[in-house]
Amino acid sequence: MKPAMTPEQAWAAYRPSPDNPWDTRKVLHLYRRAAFGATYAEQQHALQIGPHKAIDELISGRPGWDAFDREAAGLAETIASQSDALQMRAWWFHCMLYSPHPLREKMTLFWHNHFATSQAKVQSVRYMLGQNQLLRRHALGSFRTLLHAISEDPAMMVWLDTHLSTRRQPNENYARELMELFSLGIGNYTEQDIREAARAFTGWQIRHHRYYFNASEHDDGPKTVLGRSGRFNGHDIVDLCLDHPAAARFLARKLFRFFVSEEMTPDRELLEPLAQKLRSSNFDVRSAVETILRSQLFFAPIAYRSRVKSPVDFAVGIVHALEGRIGPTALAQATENLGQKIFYPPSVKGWDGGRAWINASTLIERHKLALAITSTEDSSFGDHCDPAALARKYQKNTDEQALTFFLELFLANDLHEQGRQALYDYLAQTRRGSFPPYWTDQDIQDHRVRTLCYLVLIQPEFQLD
Amino acid sequence: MWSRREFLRSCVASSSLVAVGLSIPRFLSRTAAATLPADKPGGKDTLLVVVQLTGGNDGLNTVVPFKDPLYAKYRQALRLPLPQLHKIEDDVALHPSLKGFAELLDDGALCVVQGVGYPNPSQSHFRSMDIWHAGSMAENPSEGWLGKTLRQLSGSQAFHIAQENEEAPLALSGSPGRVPSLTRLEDFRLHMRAAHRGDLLAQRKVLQQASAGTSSPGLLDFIQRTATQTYAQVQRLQELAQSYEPRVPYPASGLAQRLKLVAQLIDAEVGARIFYVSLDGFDTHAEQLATHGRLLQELSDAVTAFFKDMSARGHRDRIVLMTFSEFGRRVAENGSKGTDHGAAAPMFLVGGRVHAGVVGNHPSLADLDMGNLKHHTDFRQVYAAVLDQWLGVSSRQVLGSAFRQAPVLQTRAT
Amino acid sequence: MAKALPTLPYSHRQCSDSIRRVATLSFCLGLLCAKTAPLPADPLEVIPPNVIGVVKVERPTKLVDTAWMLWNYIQPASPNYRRFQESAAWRRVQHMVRYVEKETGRGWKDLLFEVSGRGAALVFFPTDPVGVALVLDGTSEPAVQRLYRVTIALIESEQNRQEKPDAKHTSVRRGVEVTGFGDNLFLAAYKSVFLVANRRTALDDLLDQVAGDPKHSFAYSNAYRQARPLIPDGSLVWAWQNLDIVKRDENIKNLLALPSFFPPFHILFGGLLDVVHRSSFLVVSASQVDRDMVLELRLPAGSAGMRAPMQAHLARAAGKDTPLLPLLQPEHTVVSLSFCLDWAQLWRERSFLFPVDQLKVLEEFDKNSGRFLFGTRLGQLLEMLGRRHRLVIAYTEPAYKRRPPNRLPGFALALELREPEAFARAIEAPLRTVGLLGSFAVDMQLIEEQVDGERLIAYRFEENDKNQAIGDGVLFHFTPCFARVGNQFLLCSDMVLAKRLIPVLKAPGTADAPAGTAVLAEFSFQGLAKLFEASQHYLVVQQVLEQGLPTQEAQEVVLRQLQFFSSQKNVRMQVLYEPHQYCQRLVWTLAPSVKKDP
Repeated sequence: MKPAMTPEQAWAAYRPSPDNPWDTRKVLHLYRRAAFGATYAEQQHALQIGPHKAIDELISGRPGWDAFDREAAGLAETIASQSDALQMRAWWFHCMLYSPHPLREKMTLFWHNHFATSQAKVQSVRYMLGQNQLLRRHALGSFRTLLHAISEDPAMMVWLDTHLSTRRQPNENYARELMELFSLGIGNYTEQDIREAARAFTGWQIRHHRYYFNASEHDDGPKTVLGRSGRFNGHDIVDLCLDHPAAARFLARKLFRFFVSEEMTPDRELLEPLAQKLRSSNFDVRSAVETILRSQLFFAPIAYRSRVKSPVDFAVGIVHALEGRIGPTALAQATENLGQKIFYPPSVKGWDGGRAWINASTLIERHKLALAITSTEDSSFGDHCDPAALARKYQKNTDEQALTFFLELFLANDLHEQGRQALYDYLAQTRRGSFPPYWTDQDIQDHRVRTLCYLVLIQPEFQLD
Repeated sequence: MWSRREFLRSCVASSSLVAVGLSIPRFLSRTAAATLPADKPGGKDTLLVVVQLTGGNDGLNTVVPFKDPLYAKYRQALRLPLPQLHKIEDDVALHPSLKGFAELLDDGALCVVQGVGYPNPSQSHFRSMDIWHAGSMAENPSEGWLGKTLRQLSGSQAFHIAQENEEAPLALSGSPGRVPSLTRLEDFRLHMRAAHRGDLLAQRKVLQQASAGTSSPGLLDFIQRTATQTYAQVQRLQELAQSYEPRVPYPASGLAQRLKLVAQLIDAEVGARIFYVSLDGFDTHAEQLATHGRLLQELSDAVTAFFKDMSARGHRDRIVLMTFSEFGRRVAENGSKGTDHGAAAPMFLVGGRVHAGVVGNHPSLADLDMGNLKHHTDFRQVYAAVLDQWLGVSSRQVLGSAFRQAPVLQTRAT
Repeated sequence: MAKALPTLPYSHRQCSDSIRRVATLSFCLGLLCAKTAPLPADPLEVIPPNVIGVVKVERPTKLVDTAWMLWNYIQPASPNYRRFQESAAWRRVQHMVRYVEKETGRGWKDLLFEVSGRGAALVFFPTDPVGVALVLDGTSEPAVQRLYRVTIALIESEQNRQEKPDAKHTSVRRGVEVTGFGDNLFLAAYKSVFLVANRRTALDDLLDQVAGDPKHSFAYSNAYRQARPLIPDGSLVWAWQNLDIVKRDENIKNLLALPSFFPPFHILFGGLLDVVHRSSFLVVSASQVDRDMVLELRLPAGSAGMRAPMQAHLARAAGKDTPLLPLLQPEHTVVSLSFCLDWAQLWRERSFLFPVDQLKVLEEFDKNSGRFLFGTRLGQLLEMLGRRHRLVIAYTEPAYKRRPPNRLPGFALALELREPEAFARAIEAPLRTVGLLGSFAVDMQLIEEQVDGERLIAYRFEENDKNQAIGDGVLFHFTPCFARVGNQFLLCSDMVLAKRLIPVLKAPGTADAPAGTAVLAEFSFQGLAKLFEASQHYLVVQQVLEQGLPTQEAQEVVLRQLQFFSSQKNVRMQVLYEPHQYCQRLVWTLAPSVKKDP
């Protein structure tokens, strides 16, 4: 499939016009991709200030994000010293739920999937949290700096066996994935390149929880990698990879898949301007992401709902839009059942994503989670994420108002007529009935609103990003 | 018991579930194909049921070299009474509890692979279990052999039939979609919180409406179709839970009930090809005789009932059930009438298309490795046969290198 | 210094006012409605004698009052207490109560009195699965009948919410209507008695007893007659459990048997196990005495007739009482324990304790133990030990610059010695060897110090990266040490704690507790608060991740918990062996700020 526009048009900035207005659908599309959805207030605010400023705000985060960071870092230190893996997972949910800089969290998730490292093998909460903080620090920074740093990251070194690689027996694991999954993609290097590159990473070890260069285990001999020769060390290899023309294309393709569409396979021509942008900015991720978010392509129909919501997006998105406070631990446990256990990607390739997120079992689990969050009667989620309270807050008191409110909040009104009618019928049919005798009118109304919200969240449309 | 046609009719009549012709799921529109035998090994309908014997099964008292004088020497308290053994070859016999297995062998549906293990065997439960699950010797593996298999079997699901609070096995991790762990059929249902009956029905109506979209092909259509399919499966399974009548009675044991659940899922055609169940308790360090006999009884009776039920439903030639344990046990018994951790042990394969009989010799009791039996067949050779010949996926990709296939399945001219 | 609790003399001769009042009241009511069978004066009269367990509440209204008071009392310590008050679940409960009030035309307290004024009981039947029934013995027949109707209506409406509701069915037993839902819920109301059970057989048994002769009920049974003296007057709630039936279970039988299949169990809890072995029932009761909340376990067997090796747990040797040593209570004590355990006796009578095969291994071990114990054998060492020992767990200040994020408490064990000189000589070399072996794995130095004239030998870990890498710095919680102080041998995890204890160990004295007291323990909230204070970060993380609180709010919650704990005093525990009775008592004294009646 190909969008009906030239690459230049595709990457040119979107400007609202009467036939292509800045509306709720576009606002929510932006917030779904560049954040974890929007609250009703955020939606109204973005509508008012227009796309340019809205994207500015997402790129630089709301004020106070640095204070939040410091606080979160303090919590992380305690968790690392306790070595509690469940708390580690919950901690990241805490960040995703409440950080004033959601785009950075989203990008951290992107990098976690790019440099997919699993605690299942690393077996160190401290290393995993260290890597997570590293990814966050460089989430919107320079990919070059990040790739250098991740090569020396203890979690990565354990995950891909760098620390076991010796002069006599170089381990090829890291060199291979560096080229195949982290920078170039298959077809842009040879097996010989990998063998030579592996020698450059020998002597990279961990001492006292830190990267340590052991010169006596390092193979300092001449190597030929990607057509260049020299006495390369690991950092030289990283630079050689990034200097390869395929590197920028590779990253551009991944960013496209993450922000624009999982369904469309972009051709080289379409990606080239974005790749060029990465090369000319020395791999500045922030400007590449900015280019994507501002582009015509990003707001084109081809990008709209062209991704499946990941379990994390699904769970965090619901709580965020409902302005709820929920124990992140319960959320971390629940998303595992939906197929995404963060800090434990299934392999170094990360999660397959896309259609693989949805099967009979995960769909049932999505129903279960949506119900648990919205019912206010599930002990692990508590009742501080209450759709009925939210509707009251925005004074959506009638059935009609509540229906419109939740459809707009979660679906930007995208539901087809039959679906909307079905929801309306639900409300109509439950206006009366044999409710438990002790329920007050308020209880009954709250129950109907919560159920309405649940029924909105299980719509197929809501499973799309 | 419902026929497929009745089921289809009831769906159409009772709801708008399949109102849209386009979105009738594959398994509903497929005709009687499912009940036909797999037309060739690796055919699309073949099923694999893995039964894990947790704790280290005493292979020597499972498949017994009863004529070997060394057997009598090493096993004094634990020697099995000769007259009660089920002789399957001149010099080997099955444990007295494995009567059902002996019958399956007569029926041409049992393959006994002797002396299975791997090099430098670990005697830690955890490490050895990891090796069997990963199908590799890598340290701290994060992917399992069945998970990797599922990557190649795109579109099919797997089920882990769990005991209460049992975690999903490593063997299934690494699959593209989450593999569900079910304890009972009721787990597989849609959840609602209703205020009264009318409320419940009204909610269900919205659910059905939600899956019946009208969109053109694309992601939304994919979700809608998956939802339709899921709701139909849920409905079918809930009905099955009440109405499934096994063709042969299942014992009341835990394993039998788990296998019955597997049978229900197979019969409901939920699109899964791999099933995983386990039976715990094989770590028999003391007073082994009674415990081990009871466990093998549970295994044999449950597997036999399952296979007979499935055969009667026409799935005989679609099924391979494979048992394994993380290791065998020490040849010499210990002082507490039990056995300690060992190495090589036999595996069983049950199905209409397995190579009926015994594969390989019993490992020598005279040539031991630190008191343990030596393996002659790597377990990955058995995996390779099951992967390449039965499930039709590349064992090389799953196991990381090529293993010679063990002759455990019938080779048929196709 | 610990203060032991006075024992309260309980006897069945003293009948409390309340019971007499209820008895009189029921007699009058009985006269009023004398035209049919007399109404049960006590729910125990509704219970058949063959039950296996009974929980009885004499005055449900009083229990509810006390529970409500306690609930409010501990609220500040509960992390999400404000949240609970606002929760939907709590609102639901309130709505339900209001509905019941409206339907019955009574305030809930009045209603509670009317439907359970003569008491309430929970009854356990010897069926498989266990039948459980609730008996409310009310003062007003109309109120009970109304409650029955309302309860059924409520259950019906809840059933109506289920996907697969349990079918409602009614039948009649002994002229009384029985309403059932599925196979697991049955209700009936006979006059002013309200019955709910999980099994039909249980409800039938109760209805049969209601219609039958109260003289054949549990209230007049032998079992209850024997149990009555062990039930404190005025208890809020008490439970009686038939042990003969429990002991029929193969596992329980094995657990109680000697030689023990798992000897450590008998070494630690042998006294209680022996008493259980010889008792046919037990009684647990809860009561409030002024500001003391008292929980008691009593059994009808005591020190008389205890099996030989288990006498090691008694505070009586060769017919002579040995009063316990006073509790050790250094600053910031969390838990302190003073107990009797005669190691020498356990050793001498080991053949009664250990099964044959284990005994053989043990003897073998003892024979060889001289080799690594430098000449003294394990058995000899044990025979040098005395009978009375003490254990204390206390918060101590960190002794290192490097600090793990949370703080583990220090602990100390003070063993009484029968032969102090010999023991100290025999143990020092092995302990020093352990230290030496340890120094191969971690960097540490040996310190010898004179404290109050006694020699303290301690180990201090070097504060380097190598030691830090072990368990993320877990070593820096400890400075393990030991000392012999008179006839006491002190083993301690922390030097500072040891230094505080040595002068105390030198002081003579015994605990202020009645003769026969074998265990005294005290748990201090203030010590706990101190410990929590040192692990605040961790508690805050828990609040943030489990309750979803913002960090600042989480800090406030933790602070509030700490304040609550530091305003509390302690919980005391005492085990007393009388010749024919065992009594274990737990006492929690509420802080004075709390009003008795809300």
